[in-house]
Amino acid sequence: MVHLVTSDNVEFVVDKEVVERSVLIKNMLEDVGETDQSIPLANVSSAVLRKVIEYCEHHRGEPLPSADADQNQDETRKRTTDISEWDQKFITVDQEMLFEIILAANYLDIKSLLDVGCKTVANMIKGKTPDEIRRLFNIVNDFTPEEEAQIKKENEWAEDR
Amino acid sequence: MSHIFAALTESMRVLRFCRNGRVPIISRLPDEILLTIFKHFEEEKRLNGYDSHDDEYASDVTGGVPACLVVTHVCRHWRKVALECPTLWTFISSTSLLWLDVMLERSQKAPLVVTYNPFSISLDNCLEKVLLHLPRIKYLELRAHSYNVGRVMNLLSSQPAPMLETFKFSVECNLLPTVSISNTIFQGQAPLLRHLDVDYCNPRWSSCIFGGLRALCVRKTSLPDILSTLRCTPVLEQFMLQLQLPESDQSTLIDRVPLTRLKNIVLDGTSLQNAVSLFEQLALPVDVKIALQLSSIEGPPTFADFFSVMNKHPDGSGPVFRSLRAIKFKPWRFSVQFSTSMEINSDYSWNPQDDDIRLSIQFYYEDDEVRPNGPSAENIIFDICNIIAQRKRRTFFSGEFESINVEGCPDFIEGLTAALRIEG
Repeated sequence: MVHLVTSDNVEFVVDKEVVERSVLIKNMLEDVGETDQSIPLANVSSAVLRKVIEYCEHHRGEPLPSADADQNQDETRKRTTDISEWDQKFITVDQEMLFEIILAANYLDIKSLLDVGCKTVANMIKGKTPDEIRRLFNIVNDFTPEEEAQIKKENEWAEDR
Repeated sequence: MSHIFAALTESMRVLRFCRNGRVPIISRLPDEILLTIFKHFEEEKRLNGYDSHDDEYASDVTGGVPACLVVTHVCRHWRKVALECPTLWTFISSTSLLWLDVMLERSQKAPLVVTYNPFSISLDNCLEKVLLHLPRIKYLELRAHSYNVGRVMNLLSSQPAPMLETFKFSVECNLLPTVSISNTIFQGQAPLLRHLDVDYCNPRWSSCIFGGLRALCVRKTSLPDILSTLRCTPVLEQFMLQLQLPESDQSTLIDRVPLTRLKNIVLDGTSLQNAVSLFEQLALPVDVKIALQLSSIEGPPTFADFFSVMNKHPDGSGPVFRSLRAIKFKPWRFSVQFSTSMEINSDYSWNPQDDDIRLSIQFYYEDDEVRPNGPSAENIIFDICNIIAQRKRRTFFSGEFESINVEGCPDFIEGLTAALRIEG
């Protein structure tokens, strides 16, 4: 078992096989060997780590994606498949938690979870206008007049296609 | 007054910019993650399109608007991140010269993926501009009209293609091929080319440019042309062929073409006669996977002839088939699959890519009502199994009769089981 301590000082005891879906932790364990010492995760809160462990538990035993898996695909085919039903349900959380999970997946180096998070955000953008995207993410229009002019021109080209 | 107003406007814009960097939760994501999101978005939109209620941003994959345009119109930061990533702009299928210029500029020097399907568009306006960038194209898919092929070939021959990995080329015409790929294509220089897919044109080449091919897919060609092609592709691993061989188009057997590295061969929509003619000319590795989709099994030759030419190894070696799947899909359409594994794949469709299956034969056959004196399709399958059983002597089938699956034909299963027990 592996002991993990979160940024809010909560300790989790997790099965080694589960936690090794994180390449960061896997490499740490390989470097230090068997130890009872807790691993501090300063960038991850307990609420987020709980979700991350839930994900890793569910995907326990699955082969880890290789780093060059995306590069060997046909250029005109999708590199990855859609989000599975379980993953979709898992990632149906509020925006705050979604982005925290993405950050944690990035920090802990869990590629499959990072992909699920990024695809979820991509799906949120899909089919929306810039205005709608701004409203969705609480972004405001901060373009300079020159950029606005260029964007207007691009919109005209898009209409002329 | 206007001066003050302009200064205030600019101050407000700067404040909005600062706010965007702090307030939205999404601003916590580092640029590389934002970029990953854009890449997923671009890929999804480019390959699948979507239903937008705003036509301005609705993706028409062939219409010319870059898939990632919308994210560059959200805010300064998103625009900067998207514009600074050349690979977001490398997927070219635009016929709009305006967008073509934008994509070519924003992709900087990144390798290009160029896909044109002119069923819906004309290439006339943009082809020269795109093919000026031939040296950085890594994936090129073109379909030319027959009247335009000469011009396209000239353009393809105008420069080397040092980064090209995949080339798919087809000619839109209804006749047998009259178009040949020129020996001067890519000026003879495409050292990374590994995948070639041609349709309605003769790859009648002798150039070493195709010597590194790993995958070859050819449709609507003739036997002599395909044999000359195969002699130039010694390291070929995957070969898919749709052969249209006229009755008189028989090649004289000189030397069988050795394809020592071939892993799988797919013959699609060909007759048994053409399959025999082709396999007579090939020397294949013992463990090559073979998938046949036969449009006709009218003989001569027979399946026995086919198996004779398919596996002509002096020592009789070859894969030991350990399981059989004989599946009746629907009336007149049958499939027989042999595997070296005893695992049963739950997918019963014809799948030449299936790793378990060493030999897959699918054929069309009208049943007894149409052809009262002919053998039934079940009998033909029975004969195929018997031939293989005899050729492999006692090594074929080791009791795994549950592998046989012919829907609605229990008599056939019993007959085959009994026969194979006697044989083996």
